Amino acid sequence: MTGSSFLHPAAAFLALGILLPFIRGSWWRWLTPIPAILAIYSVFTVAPGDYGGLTWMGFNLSLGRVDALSTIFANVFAIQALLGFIYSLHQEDKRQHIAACFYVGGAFGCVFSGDYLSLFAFWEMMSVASTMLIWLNFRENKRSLAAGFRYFLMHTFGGLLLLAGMLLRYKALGTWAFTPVDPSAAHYYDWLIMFGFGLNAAIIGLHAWLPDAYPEATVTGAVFMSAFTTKTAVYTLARGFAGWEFLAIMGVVMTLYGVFYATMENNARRILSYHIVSQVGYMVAGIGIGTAMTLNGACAHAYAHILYKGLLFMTVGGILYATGTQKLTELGGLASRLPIVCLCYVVAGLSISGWPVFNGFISKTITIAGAFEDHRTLLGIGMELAAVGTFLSVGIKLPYFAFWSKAPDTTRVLKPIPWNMHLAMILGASLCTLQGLFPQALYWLLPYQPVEYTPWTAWHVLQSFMLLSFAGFAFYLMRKTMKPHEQRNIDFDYLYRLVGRGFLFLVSKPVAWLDSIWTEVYARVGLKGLMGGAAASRVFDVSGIDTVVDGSAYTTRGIGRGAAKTQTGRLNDYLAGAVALAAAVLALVWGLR
Amino acid sequence: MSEALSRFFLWAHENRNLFRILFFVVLVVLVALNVFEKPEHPHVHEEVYPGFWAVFGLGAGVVMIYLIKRIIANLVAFDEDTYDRL
Repeated sequence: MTGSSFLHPAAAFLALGILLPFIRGSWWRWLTPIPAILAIYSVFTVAPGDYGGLTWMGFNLSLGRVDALSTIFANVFAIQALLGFIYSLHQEDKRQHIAACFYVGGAFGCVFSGDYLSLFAFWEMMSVASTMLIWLNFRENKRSLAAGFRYFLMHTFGGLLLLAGMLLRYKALGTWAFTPVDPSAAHYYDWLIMFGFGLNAAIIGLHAWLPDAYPEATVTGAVFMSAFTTKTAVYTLARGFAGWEFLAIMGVVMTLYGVFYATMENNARRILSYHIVSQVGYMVAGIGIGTAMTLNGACAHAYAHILYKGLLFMTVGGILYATGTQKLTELGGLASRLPIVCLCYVVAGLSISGWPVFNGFISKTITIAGAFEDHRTLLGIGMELAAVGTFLSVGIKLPYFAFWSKAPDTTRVLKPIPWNMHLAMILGASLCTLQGLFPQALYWLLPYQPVEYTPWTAWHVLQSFMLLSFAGFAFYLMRKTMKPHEQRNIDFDYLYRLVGRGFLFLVSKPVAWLDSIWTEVYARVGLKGLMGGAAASRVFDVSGIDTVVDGSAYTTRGIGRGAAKTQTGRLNDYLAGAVALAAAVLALVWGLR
Repeated sequence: MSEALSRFFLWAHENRNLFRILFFVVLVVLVALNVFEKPEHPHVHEEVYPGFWAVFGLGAGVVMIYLIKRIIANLVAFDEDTYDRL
């Protein structure tokens, strides 16, 4: 089906990103929410169809594939973009807004791309723009430069995996179309593409860029980044790789791995970053299991996750903005000093934990129930276990040590939080709550209809309350053990660094040694041989080439002079010469007989 | 709104024992409710026993905290500026 009209949400973001450098004054900040408002209008009014097809260098590109799957992701992207731009309305650094515009525009571009070529272009746009959101924090945080560089290297690697896969796929199939891959007929290029997407989804082993970079980003930039990179990857995996067993298992590993590291962490934004890994794990597992219910669960959880994770980064960003630190060991007793931030954090923390009333309850449980109903009991138990860990670390530990663990802190000087940051938090908290109370407001967007899951049953509510309340009791009993410590927990990024340093060592030591040996050999043997060869060449040139060439020249000159002497101009001389030549020829012929 | 919330949090801190008692009461009530409320289609067989998810939540929580904070954290913990020096 081809729709009649479609205002591509990316267009307004990209247009604003291009225009902003040319606008003077400070009124431009009021323009920043406009693309998001247009995007909301667009995604709520567009009909399914194929829009915006174009031909480029002989290839047919599709920029506007609108269906249930792309619509649900675009829907929450638009809402979160509005919240993000409201949250950053006070931000005077224009470059951050420009980077955010290209980043969000790139995410919309990916979601609506129907082919790999345009998807790749938007994918890379996101990579570059999000790197800027890290680097632009360099005045506040010196670590952001190195972290941004590592982030960009990793995403370049992921982009190359994707590029290699799509080129090989094109060579094999002759099409750029971005279509589902049957796991039983997957080729090596499909795996390359899957790992390219997987890196952005932070699958374990390729995930360490996330907790490395997000805590170093700008306060407002991290809010955007928490929403778009990993969820765009989840969209691409849902579009192309549903039913892949590798993803089902990897997803559950992600859910557990993320909570394990979050439980150990001291840096609040790194805790949240590890929880992105964990929560995206639920989505990846749902995609990997691949039933209609778990795919709905993955999409629903992506939607809810974007809202509550954005809220978590907004509130923790608020703490960082007000106090200047994000270390739990340096926080505590702030509940009465930052009451709105505290309340909104609690809503976000209960949402991510799957607490009834809030939106995690109506999204996370779909995937878990879907796993059990597909008789994947171990996967289901693994996800329940991760839910316990989630509540322990981000539901209780972080707020406890940031807001309550000490007596009310009345002496700390706090930087006032701008009204727009508070407004964005309150809007985010309201959406998390409303969505939890009215699940149909989310379920009608899900790709597989009808949605045969009812979260608000007495048993589901009781089960969630029991699981989480007793996990809270475990925290109460072990609260002294849970106390955070100033430490850096090494992860796979240590391995990346080892590989990097190994390469540096290889180049600077053994390869440099080999190079010095080669230089010596060249100086002693090669150079002397070359000089000897040159001398021999000179002798040959003088005594051989020159002799032959000069001899030929001398001979030619002699013949020329002799011939000139024969040109007397007298006829009788020429006749005598002709007779002599004829006699010589006759004598030669006679002799050869 | 902000000031009212602030006062509430101060009051809550001063009356934290009240919340602690309330919390324990809720735990007991939840398990008691589970005696009457059971899943129609148990995902795992043990769900039919009252308090299964309570035991799961408590046990998993305690084991997880001990395992992570007492054992794993000691294996992976380095100085905070380790990576700045690498």
